[in-house]
Amino acid sequence: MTTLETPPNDSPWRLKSPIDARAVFIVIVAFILLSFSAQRVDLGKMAGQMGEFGLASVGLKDSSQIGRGLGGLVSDMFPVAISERTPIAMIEHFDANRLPPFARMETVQVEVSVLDPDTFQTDTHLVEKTYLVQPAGYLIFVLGKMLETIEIAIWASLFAIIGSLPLAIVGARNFTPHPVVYFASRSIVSFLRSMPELISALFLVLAFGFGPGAGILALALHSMGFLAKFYAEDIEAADPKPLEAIRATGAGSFAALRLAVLPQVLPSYTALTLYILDRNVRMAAVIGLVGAGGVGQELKGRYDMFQYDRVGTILLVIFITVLLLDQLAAHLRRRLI
Amino acid sequence: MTIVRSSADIENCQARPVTALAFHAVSQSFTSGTRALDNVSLDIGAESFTVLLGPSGSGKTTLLRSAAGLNTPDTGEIRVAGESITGRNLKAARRRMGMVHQDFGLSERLTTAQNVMAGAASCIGWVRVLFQAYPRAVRLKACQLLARVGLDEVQANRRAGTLSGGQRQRVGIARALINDPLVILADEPVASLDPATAHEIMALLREAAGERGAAVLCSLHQIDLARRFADRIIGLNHGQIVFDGPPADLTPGALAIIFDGPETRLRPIVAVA
Ligand SMILES: Nc1ncnc2c1ncn2[C@@H]1O[C@H](COP(=O)(O)OP(=O)(O)OP(=O)(O)O)[C@@H](O)[C@H]1O
Ligand SMILES: [Mg+2]
Repeated sequence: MTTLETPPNDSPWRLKSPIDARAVFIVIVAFILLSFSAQRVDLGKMAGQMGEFGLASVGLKDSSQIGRGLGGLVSDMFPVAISERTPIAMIEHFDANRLPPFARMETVQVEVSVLDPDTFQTDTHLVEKTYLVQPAGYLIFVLGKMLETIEIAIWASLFAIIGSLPLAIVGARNFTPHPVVYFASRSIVSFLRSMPELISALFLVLAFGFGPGAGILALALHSMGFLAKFYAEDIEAADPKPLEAIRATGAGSFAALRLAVLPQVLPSYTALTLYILDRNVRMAAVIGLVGAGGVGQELKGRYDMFQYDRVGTILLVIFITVLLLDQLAAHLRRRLI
Repeated sequence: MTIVRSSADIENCQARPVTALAFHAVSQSFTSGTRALDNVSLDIGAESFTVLLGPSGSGKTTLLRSAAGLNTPDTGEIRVAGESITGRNLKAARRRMGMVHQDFGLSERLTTAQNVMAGAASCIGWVRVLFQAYPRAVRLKACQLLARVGLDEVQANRRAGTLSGGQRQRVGIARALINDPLVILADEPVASLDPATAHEIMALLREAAGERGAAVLCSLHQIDLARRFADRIIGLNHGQIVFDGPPADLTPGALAIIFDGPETRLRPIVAVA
């Protein structure tokens, strides 16, 4: 028999401390590495600019580089472009009797200076120009592009779900038909996940040409890797007791998956899938920048043409959409789980 | 004798075979070095109620799991109704057995009735399994079994995760009965239940199995329950059968043999009763 050792009244036992030499060592090493890295990425310059901006915005300094940059950008972007004015000369098959809804025609007289090649004199004369004005034309156009972006995200997510399920099942240790299949599936999944969408989109645009196709594929491949990894981990972590109970009835793997595993992993699958959908909408806007369709492609075009009022409209639409989708996803998550 | 193949035919699942469960020279060691089953030979007659007694770690769970094909013995053979359960026979053999698990093994997010019907999933097509659209015959049988184990329509549609321990074990028994098994394997079916409920569940298991002519092989830690419900008691110690006889033969001497061993310094107090 062992007797319980009681601690002496004045000093406690030696108890494990959460901070040991190793933790201190790790913190010091991390600090040294970060200070090297800070120099490499010019963190000092960034801090200086931020400080300058802070001082300037409370009035202690006349101006700051960030302030000037932001100020210029904001004044260029606002007011954002809502309407669309198109010279009717540029519209094919223009029919003044059948204008689009809410549209009107506007005729302005513009002074046009022409250099006379004979006399080398500049003649100024008035020319009438007619525009088709659509009051919310540009906004509607951007909303359409945003819808395209959302559609890209939905298709990509759908393909990702469909593709990731088989990968996840054969990539789960408890359901794989063979270790080789398991290894192959896990390798494919790692490969898919390691390809950033922006980069795969860049190459897929070369292969498929500009447009949503490349975007859908780029997003689908990456999300497939993501979903397959986490789906597989959920299957592996599922409680084995119901699984064995179903197997012991003589049912096959499909029934075991459907009746014992799926009910367990469904809440987590729903959360993962909603996250991927949410993320794909944001990423679909980003990969548009390399020409893979949607609102991102429009953004890139306008940015390159210095049309910052239109850039402002696009950013506003993206911002509001992401905000709304976030609310929707949160709502769905509460409902489904 | 009919051999049930993986046909999706419910009639086949219900075919009555002739003999029950037989272990022949079954041994199993684990990588840990434990010899969990040591040359076990045992015949379980049809329509009998056999209780496995033995100290913790004596191999009761291993024996029951190998009968269900949940682990494969190193040597020896297990037959259900005369058919070896190896290889391609395994699924067919499993359909002739029902297992009642100690921790119930229910899918908590499925309803009570869905859990019971899941026991018949091996006999229906995959589309029906996918949508849990069981044939009318299966639904009817599930309802009858649920009523038999004392659950009502409201409880049938509740998620299994919301049931009490005793209710869950009733569901487990109903599920084990849905394929009209020849053998019911029960691993400590009353381990986490209070004494009154444990008694009730054992009575239910015995009666329901008896009504359907199923043989029961049930491991227990409660010697009083074993005496009361068993036709035959098997004592297991260190993976070997050390006792085999009717409850009347379970003398204090026999109990000492069954529960003797280095792991049994905490001998059950009931042993002297
Ligand atoms: N998967 C496994 N890996 C290694 N050893 C195992 C495994 N399963 C069982 N064992 C060992 O085999 C022996 C028998 O275990 P088993 O679970 O069959 O005992 P038991 O009689 O059911 O005990 P209890 O009454 O505690 O449930 C034990 O020593 C156990 O540690
Ligand atoms: Mg056990």
